[in-house]
Amino acid sequence: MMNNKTADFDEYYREFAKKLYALAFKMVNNQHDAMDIVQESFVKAYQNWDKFRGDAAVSTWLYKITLNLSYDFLNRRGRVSILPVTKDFEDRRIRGGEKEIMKSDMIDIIKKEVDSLTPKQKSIFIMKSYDELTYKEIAKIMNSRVGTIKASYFQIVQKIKKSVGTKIPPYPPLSKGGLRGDLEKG
Amino acid sequence: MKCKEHEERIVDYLAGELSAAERERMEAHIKICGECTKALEEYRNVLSAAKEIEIPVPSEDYWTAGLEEVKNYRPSGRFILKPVILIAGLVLAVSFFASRISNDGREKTAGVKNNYTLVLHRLPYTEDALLDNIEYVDDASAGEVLNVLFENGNVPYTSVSYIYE
Repeated sequence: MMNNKTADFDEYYREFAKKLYALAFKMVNNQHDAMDIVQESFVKAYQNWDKFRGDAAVSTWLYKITLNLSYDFLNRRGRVSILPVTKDFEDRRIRGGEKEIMKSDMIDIIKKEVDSLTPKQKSIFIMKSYDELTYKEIAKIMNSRVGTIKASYFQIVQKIKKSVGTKIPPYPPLSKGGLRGDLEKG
Repeated sequence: MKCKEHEERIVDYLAGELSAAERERMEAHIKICGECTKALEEYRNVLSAAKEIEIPVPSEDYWTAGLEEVKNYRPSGRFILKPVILIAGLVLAVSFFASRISNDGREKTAGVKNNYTLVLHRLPYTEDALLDNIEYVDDASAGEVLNVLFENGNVPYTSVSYIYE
């Protein structure tokens, strides 16, 4: 029979493993390394589950462990490798028209810009842009201040926008879905 | 852009970080400011494109097996002692080495014992300290050792790890 520890833990694993994998993947740019980081994060979590249940938000704790392991990994590896262009990505370029190519170029530039960020900047950008965590949540995960996270995120996004703007100006509007606060949705 | 004071707010707006009143003010401003409308569109394009970066996703089977693997994980060391004996040995080793550690360091290698090295971390026992140093807690057995130590108030260390030879 499944005990409470196991049931709780299973639930968190199912809810967060894929999210944390996406975070780790974007941090280290390697599928197998990201999978190892997530597994190691959950091993640490499982072994200390009783100590932390009911204390800080479990999600904060899980994000923190995964980020620390990602930082450790990047320190050990010494540098961040650029994610190779995938087959699907290439196929989309071949199939698509001018707009599609422009969009692919933009994605490629963004990918390189994100890769060039420091590990901490990268983690702020990933948690805000992909996981849609609030500045407050990110500040808690990173033991930082809300104002610092907010200012860093702005600088990162501004830098990426400038880079995109100088390399492929002007560009047509892309999909407007998916972001919080979409003006046109009112 | 000239509307510099609005640029940061545009990013906050797209990030869903403005209050209802701030959001209303921003939307009213955008209606009358061509420069901010253009900036909003550019930021939105960049952030939408960023979301389209593809990542390879492991199969569902991987995650199912991964969960079991996590719960059944055992360190790859060469311990042959039964867990109870191992824990008792660790407690003794920690007590022995703790007395030889100076008080000014936060972390000391306590010493080498048979096929493992004990590392003690002297930190205040707070949730934040544990969160900061969780990476040092390597094994369930170490956690059990710590519980014994805390209960008895023996040593001022809050985490212990041991490195397998």
